[in-house]
Amino acid sequence: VSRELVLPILAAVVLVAVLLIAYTWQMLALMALTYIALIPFGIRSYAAPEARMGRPLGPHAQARRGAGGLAAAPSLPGNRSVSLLHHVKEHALALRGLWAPEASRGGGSAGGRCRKRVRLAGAPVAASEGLHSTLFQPRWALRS
Amino acid sequence: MSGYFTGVPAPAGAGLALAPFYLGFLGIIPDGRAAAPVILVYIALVAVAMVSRIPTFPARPSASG
Repeated sequence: VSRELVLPILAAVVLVAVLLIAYTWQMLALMALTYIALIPFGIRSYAAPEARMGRPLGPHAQARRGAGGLAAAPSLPGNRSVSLLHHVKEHALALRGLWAPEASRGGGSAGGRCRKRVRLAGAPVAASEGLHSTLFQPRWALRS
Repeated sequence: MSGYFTGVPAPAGAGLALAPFYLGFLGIIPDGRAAAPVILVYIALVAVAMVSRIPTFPARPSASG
């Protein structure tokens, strides 16, 4: 905080304290309502730079990268050409705690396609990517 | 998520949870029994906001968590 801002901040703090003492319930209600009103702006200001810079790597994307590059390039996050269906499938598998590579890799079965499913030991069950899927996820669900 | 709190902090959550009391003291919520279901849902939403990863404005700059 610069020296020029010390006095205005101090004055604001004193003013809020005096108003809290004089109009306690009005001020507390006003502060609570102000906080609720500011929540959408916080989400928006967080979402804007994230959209510009691309999505951060989610837990199962990081695990996939560490799995020896089994996944193909189109599934990398941030690639806008990835189809929506691909992401839906990826999220559905991640939510089940399973992860299937794009197609059969090495070896086939009588049915033609042998889908190899790898259980990710380090990946949480509710692994997800992107703003919408992580915003409303409890903190404890993302802890590793 | 630097520069933001992740989820509603506990002190702010406490203030939000008590907001129906403040409004009741001011007479904006006259009958507690009639408003109880609404307040119940409101408290649940505040609880969800506290454990969620919603980015909220921090009380101090460059703080998170």
